[in-house]
Amino acid sequence: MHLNHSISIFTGNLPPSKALFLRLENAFLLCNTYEIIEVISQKENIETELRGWAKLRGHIYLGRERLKQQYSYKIQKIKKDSFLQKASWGKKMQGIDIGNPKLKDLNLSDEILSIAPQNNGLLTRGIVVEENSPIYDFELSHKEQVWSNPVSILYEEGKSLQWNATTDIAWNEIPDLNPVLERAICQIMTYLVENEFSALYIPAKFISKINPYYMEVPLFLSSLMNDEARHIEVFTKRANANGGGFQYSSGVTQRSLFSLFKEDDYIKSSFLLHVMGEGTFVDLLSFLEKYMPDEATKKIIRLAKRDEMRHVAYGIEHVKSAIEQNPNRINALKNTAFKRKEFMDEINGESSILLEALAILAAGSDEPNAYKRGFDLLEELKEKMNENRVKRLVNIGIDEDLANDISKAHTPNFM
Amino acid sequence: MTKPIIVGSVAYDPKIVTIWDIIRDYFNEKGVRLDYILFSNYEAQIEYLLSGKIDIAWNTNVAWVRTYELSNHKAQALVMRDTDIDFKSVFISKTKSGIKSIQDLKGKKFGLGSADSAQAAILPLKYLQNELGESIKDVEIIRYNSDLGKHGDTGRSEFDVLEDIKNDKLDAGAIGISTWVRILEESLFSDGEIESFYTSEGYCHCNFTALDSLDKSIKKRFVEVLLSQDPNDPIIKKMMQMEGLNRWVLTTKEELKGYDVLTEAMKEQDLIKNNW
Repeated sequence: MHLNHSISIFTGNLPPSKALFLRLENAFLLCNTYEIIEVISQKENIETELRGWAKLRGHIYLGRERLKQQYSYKIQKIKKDSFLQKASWGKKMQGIDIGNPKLKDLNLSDEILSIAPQNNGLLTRGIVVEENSPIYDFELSHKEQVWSNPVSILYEEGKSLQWNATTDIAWNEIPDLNPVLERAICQIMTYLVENEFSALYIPAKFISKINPYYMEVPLFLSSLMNDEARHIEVFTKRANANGGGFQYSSGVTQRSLFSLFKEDDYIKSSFLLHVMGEGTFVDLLSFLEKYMPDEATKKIIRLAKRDEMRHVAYGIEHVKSAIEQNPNRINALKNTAFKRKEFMDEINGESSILLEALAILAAGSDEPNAYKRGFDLLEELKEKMNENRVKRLVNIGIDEDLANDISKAHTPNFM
Repeated sequence: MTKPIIVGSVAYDPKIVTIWDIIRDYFNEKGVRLDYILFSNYEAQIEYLLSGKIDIAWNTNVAWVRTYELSNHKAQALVMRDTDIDFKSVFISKTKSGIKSIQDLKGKKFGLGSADSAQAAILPLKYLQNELGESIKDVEIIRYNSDLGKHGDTGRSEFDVLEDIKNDKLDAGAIGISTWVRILEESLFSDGEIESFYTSEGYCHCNFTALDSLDKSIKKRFVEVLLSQDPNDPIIKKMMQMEGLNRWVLTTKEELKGYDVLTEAMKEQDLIKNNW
C-alpha cells in the first residue's frame, strides 16, 4: 500500500480515547475532501477503534503499515469540506507595537460588504464559519441599514470619555437650594430619567437584530447604552441628592416616548431617536447647564451632554449614509415624523409640569415676573431647538423647506 | 389524494419523532406523501409489515432476517445507512485482566447484552461458539436482557455490560463497535483502563424493508427521494446526525451478504419466530 498523505498526526502512546479522537476529529474537520491523514502511533493495534471511528464519521480506513518503532494508520476523508476558506494567519494589527491598537485599525476583511454573508451568525468579518451552521437571519444585514462611517472612532471616543457617576461628581458640594428651585430641579431630573430610559431601551431593541458582521455598530451601541445607564444613574442620584426625590411623569411625555419606542424600523428609529430626539435633547441640556445654580449639577449636565453629542454624531452619519445610498428614504423619514406628530396630536398640549419647572429653573424663582422671564427664555430655547433641528436635517441631506416642516412636526416633548 | 406511503419505525428514543418529522416533511415537500407510525417494539412492527398494515419498515438486522424468513423470502431490503454496512461487534475487558483472546475467556465471566440484539448477543454468542466449540461451557455467560423488543437500539444492555466490567462483576463482554467508539470518545473509562481483544467480521445492520407485494413504483419513489437527501442541507444534516449516518446507500446483493451470518445464528439459536 502506498498512499500519499499530506498530514501526519503523531499520537505517541495515546490509547484509543477521547484525547486521540479529538485530534482526529479536528484534523479531518480542517483538511480537504479526499485528503489522507496518517496517524503515527506507538500502539500496535488500534485498528478496530480507528476503523470504527472512521466508519461512524463517514471516512475510509485505509490500513496499517509498520514503521521502525511505530505504526502508521491511514484514513481518508471523503465527506465534503466543512470549511470553504482557510483562516488567516500572520496578520498583526496596527497600533499593537505602540500599545495603542484602535478599533478603526482592525483590518478584519479586505472590504466591508454591503450585504452581510447569509451564513454570518454570531461572529464577525474574518471568522471562518463551518458549513451548515445555523442561519440566524438577522433582520439588519445590510450595511446601509446600520453603518455609520465614524463608528469606530466614536466607539474609541466613548471609551476614553467614560466617567463615573459616583466619583466624578462633587456630590457633597451641591448647596441647599430654595425648595421651589430644588423641586423644579427634581422634576427636571425625573423627566431626564424617563427620556434616558428611552435612549437605553430603543437601541437595546435593535442590537440583537444587527448582523454582527458589522461588529463596530453593536459595539458602539453597547457603549451608548452604557452611557445612557450612567445618565439614568446620575440623574436619579441628583433627584435624590438634596432632600427631594423623583417627581411626576406626565402622560404627554410617556406618550411621546412610547411613539419613539414602538418604531420598529432601525433607520427610522435612529432618525427619530438620535437625530431628532437626542439632537434636541442636547439643546435642552445646554439650557439646563446654563441655568443650573450650582457647579456640581452643571457638571452632571455637561458630562451627559458630551455623551449625547456623540450619539447624535452617530445618528447623523448613519441616517446620512442611509439617505445617500437610497434617497427615497427621505420620504419614509418624513412620513415617520409626521405619523408621530399625528399620534401626539390625538391629545393636545405639552408637559405643563415640565415646562413650569424649566421656566422656574431659568428664572431662579417662581415670583410672577421672574417666572414670566423664565417662560420667555423657554420660548427662545424652543426656537433654538427648531433652528438646530433644521440644521441637522439639512446636514443629513434633506432640503431646507422639508427640513422646516419636519422640524415643526417634532414632538413637544423635545426627545 | 393518493394514500401516503406508511413507514413504520420503532420509537426507542424521543428523538425519533424529530427524525421522522424531518423525513416526512422532506418527502411531502418533494410531492411524495409519506407518513410514519411508531411502534414500541420490533415484533409489533414486523407483524404490521407482514400483514400489510404498513408499507415499509425501518428494521434492525434481526427484524429484517425475521421478516425475510417469515415471508418466505418475499421481502426486499431497499436502503440503509452508510454506517449499517460492515458493522462489527467487539469483545472488551479491563486491560489489567490479561485477557488477550477468546481462548482466555475459559473460566471467566462473559457478559452478553439483550437476547434480541445482534451486536451485543446473537452474533457474539455465535463467534464464541465458532471459536470455542464444546469448551464454550467453560465460559460463564451472563445475559443482560434489558430493553427487549428494541433489538439493542437503545444500547442499554451494552451499557449494563460495561457497568459490570467497570465494577469487576464481569471479566469481559460484547458490545457493538459504535458503542465502543462512543464510550472511548466520551471517556466513560479512564484512558487505557479498558481495551478490545476481539473484533468480529463485518455484518450488516438496519435497512428499510418492504414486501414484494408493495407496488414497484412506490418502492422506487421512496428510494429515489430518500437517496436525494443532501447531507449538506442543514436540516438533513441534523436528522442524519441524530439517526447516525453520513449518507443513505442502496442495499445491493453485496450488502445482503452481510446478513448471512446473522441469519445462520438466528436459526441456530431459534430466533426466527416472531413472538408478539
